[in-house]
Amino acid sequence: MRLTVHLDSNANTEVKVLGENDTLMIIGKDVISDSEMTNIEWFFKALNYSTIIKSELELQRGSVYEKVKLVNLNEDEDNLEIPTVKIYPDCIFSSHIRRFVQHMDDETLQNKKHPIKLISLNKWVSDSLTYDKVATMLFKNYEKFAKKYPIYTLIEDNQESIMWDDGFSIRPRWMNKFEYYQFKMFNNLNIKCYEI
Amino acid sequence: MKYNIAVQIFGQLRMWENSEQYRDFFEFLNTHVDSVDVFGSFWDDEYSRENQKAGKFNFFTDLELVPIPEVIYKGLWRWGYCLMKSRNLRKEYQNKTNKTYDLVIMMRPDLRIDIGFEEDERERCREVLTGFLNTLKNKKMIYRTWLQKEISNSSIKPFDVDDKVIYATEEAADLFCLGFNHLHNNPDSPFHSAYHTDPISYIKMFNLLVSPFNIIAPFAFFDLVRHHYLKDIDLTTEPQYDEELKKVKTLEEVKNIVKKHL
Repeated sequence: MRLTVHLDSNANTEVKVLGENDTLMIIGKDVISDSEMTNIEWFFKALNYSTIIKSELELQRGSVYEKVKLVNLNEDEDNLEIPTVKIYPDCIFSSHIRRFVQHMDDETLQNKKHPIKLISLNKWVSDSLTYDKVATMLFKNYEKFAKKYPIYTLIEDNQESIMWDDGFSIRPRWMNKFEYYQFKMFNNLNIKCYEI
Repeated sequence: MKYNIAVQIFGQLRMWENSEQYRDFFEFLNTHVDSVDVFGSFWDDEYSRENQKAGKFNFFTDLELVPIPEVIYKGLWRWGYCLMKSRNLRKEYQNKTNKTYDLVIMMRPDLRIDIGFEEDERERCREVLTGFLNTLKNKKMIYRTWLQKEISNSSIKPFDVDDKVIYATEEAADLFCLGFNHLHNNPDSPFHSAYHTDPISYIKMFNLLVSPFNIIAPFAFFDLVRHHYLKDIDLTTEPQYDEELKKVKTLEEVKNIVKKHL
């Protein structure tokens, strides 16, 4: 049994049964008003709200969803196929992956040789437990902890350019606030990112 | 500093003639913080409805009487089910009000709560609570839960723990309360379920950090009303007829059963 969650500030909240094995949940503007809210705030609040509906659905069914897909339709389109293979806890998959390396310009400062991978939070799939871990990341902690993390530099993005114009030169960009918060929380929650 | 506390009281409503102690506890908390919001999720049974009619929940922020499921399992199954419902009640309120919490307290409704009956004891309780809240904010804790007792590995079970009161940061509480579905509604779940073990399974599945209360104050040592009564009359806290005592709703009924067995 699979659940697809769409976050869409242009739509209204609803749950649709699409077939024997598929359910679609839309979290929309009627439950998370987008007035006086940044895109990031809306995203975390809508994502967080989805855990209420999802947990109630799972309680009614008496069974958790085997696979849960999240797409933030405000930022991306739903072209991600849910894998047919088993998805294990603490693993999260996406077709959009970024790789960051520590101290790219000075290897003598590196603590870690291999880059770390981060999936795009706008489009991913996981098991139900991992979905709950990710969806419980709170906007209040984003406000409290998120910061630029220049220790890590983006060395690969399989869908977007890694280059950044900082006003003086065009160079690979640093890990931004949103990615740093994701990185920090995924470390706390023991979540591993994989490309599909 | 500004603190917001949420309290989730949940499960089988019992001993609610004791509700004044809860009201006193929240007033005590309220003297140190900006707000205390209280959420109740109890089974929709005659006892809960009687108390609702009598206005015994009028100090609650929100209340839900939960329909009793047709199939009920043993141990802490009902505890976990109601805990999850109480989480969602709190989350709906938070979504409407845009409110966040520094601390979430999850507790049963049949506790005896001692917040210090003598003035000097009360004063010390105030200091201890302030110290605890300051630690919470200063250390910027996330994903942390506090249990009344340490996790025990000495029983035949893989582990067990006390289930009366659990303190948690907001994000830890949000996850902890979802544990029910992943323990009981997941055919692949490797976690153990038994009386007094479910809370530890919830903690382990989400990698939550856990500490025993390092709070030396009466309000951090909650006891069940029925156990307190038994101790008060010098009886063991777990007599052979404890199962019988668990089934009744009022202290008067507890007293009658004890009288019958004496």
